[in-house]
Amino acid sequence: MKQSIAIDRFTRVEGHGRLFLELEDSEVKDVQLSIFEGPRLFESFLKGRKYDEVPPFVSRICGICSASHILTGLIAVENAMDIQVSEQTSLLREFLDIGEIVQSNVLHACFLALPDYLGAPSTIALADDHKELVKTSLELKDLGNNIVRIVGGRAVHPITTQIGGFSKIPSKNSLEALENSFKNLKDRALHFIEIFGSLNYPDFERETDFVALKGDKKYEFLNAPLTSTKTGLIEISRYKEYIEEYTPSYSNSKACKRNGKGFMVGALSRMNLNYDLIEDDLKSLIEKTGIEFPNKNPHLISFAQIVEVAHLITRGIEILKELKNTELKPEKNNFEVKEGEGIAVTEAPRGALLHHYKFNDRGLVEYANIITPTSMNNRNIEEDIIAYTPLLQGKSEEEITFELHKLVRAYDPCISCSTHTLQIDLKIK
Amino acid sequence: MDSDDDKLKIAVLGLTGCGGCQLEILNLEPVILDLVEVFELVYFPEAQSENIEGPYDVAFVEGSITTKEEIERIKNIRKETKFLVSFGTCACYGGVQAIRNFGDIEEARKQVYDDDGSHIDALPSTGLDEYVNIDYYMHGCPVDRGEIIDVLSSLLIGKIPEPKHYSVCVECKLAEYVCLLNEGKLCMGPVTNAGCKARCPAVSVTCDGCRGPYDQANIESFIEILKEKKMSSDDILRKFRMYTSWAPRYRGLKVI
Repeated sequence: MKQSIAIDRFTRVEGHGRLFLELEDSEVKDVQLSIFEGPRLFESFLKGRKYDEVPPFVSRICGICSASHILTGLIAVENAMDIQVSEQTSLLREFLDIGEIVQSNVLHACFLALPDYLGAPSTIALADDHKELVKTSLELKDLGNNIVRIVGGRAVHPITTQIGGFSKIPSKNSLEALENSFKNLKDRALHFIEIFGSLNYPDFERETDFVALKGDKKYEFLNAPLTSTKTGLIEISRYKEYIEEYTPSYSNSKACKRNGKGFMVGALSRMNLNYDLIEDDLKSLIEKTGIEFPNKNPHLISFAQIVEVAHLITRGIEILKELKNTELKPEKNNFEVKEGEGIAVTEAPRGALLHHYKFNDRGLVEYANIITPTSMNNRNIEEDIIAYTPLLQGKSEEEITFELHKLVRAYDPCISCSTHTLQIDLKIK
Repeated sequence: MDSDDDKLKIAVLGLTGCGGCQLEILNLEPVILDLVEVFELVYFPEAQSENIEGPYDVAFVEGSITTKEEIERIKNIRKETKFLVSFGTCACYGGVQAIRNFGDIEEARKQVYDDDGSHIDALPSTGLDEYVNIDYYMHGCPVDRGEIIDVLSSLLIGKIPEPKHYSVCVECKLAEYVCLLNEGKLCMGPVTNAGCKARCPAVSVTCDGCRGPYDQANIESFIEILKEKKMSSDDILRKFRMYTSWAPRYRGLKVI
């Protein structure tokens, strides 16, 4: 029997996407994850712009992970021009990044994905029945945002993040105010591991290629080698040999393959590659839930995000202590503008994010390429759908649609990110 | 979803943009539960899976128009909406992606990117008012959280919020921040719509003019002042072509 299933507009997903599926006797004949948000053509207008305009411009690729785009852009520019940053700057950048990852992970796990498991249209609609859960979710997200506000000057599109260092250093008072929120939320963040560990995740596993930064001594988001569970190190200086980008004929977003197949980036990949670097008290809580890492169930991306939040609260408290014990000094960002090429890869909330620029001797952009996590995940989501749909045999079309929507949502696709960069032939009619 | 006739029915949605302005609504964490007590969020697909396709008392529309589908969409939303708000700089002026409107289309055509990318339509990026009437503009990249509360509070008591008729410089001076223009830096404060409380100068970063020109801005004499300060035409033009390049008063700007 032939059947087609369409989700015309995703909800509880950032941006505009749709899914089209053609089935024959439960077998997927065709799957199209289609992004129809308007293309923004960042590359076409970054060309000819000045090096210091790059970070604030790329911030505008995505409101949810604007700090990640800025930080990745900054590191790529600094790599191109051999600019070194101080330890103070590195530490403040890590702290800023923690704020964004916490904000974004909580947004996805608690506000976009959670309603699927508690049978509600939104988390706000859960406020009456699950008051504490909603309250803690809001407070955790607020904490993440407040970190970005205090270090970056604004929660969305931070301002202080400049090439070479920060334009303004946060005051001791503002950092102390954060300390209380951290302490106040630590136990509840740990408790979230139990809550999210007890959700009824669909029983679905698929072997794939998990790709993330792999830390050595600590769980890294900004500075570690990009690594695959299948092939090991991915040399970012030669990323084009490792990652193949293509544009599906049915989508406004690029997609990626490695060795002809999809691969996964994001919190689950990070957890799979870095589980041994998570604190012992977190591990024992995870063990109690019965969930094991490495794990091949994409629905557990939100669980991995919640584990990361608990870890980052511990790490955040450490950084705060360090910041408290050092005298924070305003920095002069002196450097020489020169010709060069720079590539950077970091872990944005949704996974590996790659920026690549070439500058001429006046510091003007000659080449720009950005690969976002959602572009990297696109093909893997389609492959998951092909594998998952036959398991839904016997369910009604409505149930199948709900389950597929839930699977797509589990990835936390960020459609604004994925349409930033589509390089196309402009048609003006 | 239950419909409550007493509450204002609000829609929040995005066209082509980064999602950051919609996120600023979700970023109202300390008050968001109070807001849903007094407003009914009937359409907010980014945050909820049950959404009603109109009618709306107020619609906050983020993002610029870049496809034909979006032109139809905004026209439909206009029909369904009593009070339509251009929510953020993309919706007001076309946003950062409007810079591409100045590019040489033929040159862009020559750039062979993806062999299979030709199925995509991309129009010049514009604000919503290129196609529909707008009742209120909220500027900023992103919009300011405080301003969201101000606007919602006004609407709640049945008033239309009063737009500001002064520049970022006024807010900057009131806060006693150091003048970056006096330090020889190209700061857009003198011509830019207030409302952000001079957030960028507050952290020693020049204003990029993300809120667009305020109604009485004297752009010509501002450019003269910049030239007197020995700033190059290239640098001046580049600064006007950041986030609000397609604002009607900026798009034809020539700096010689």
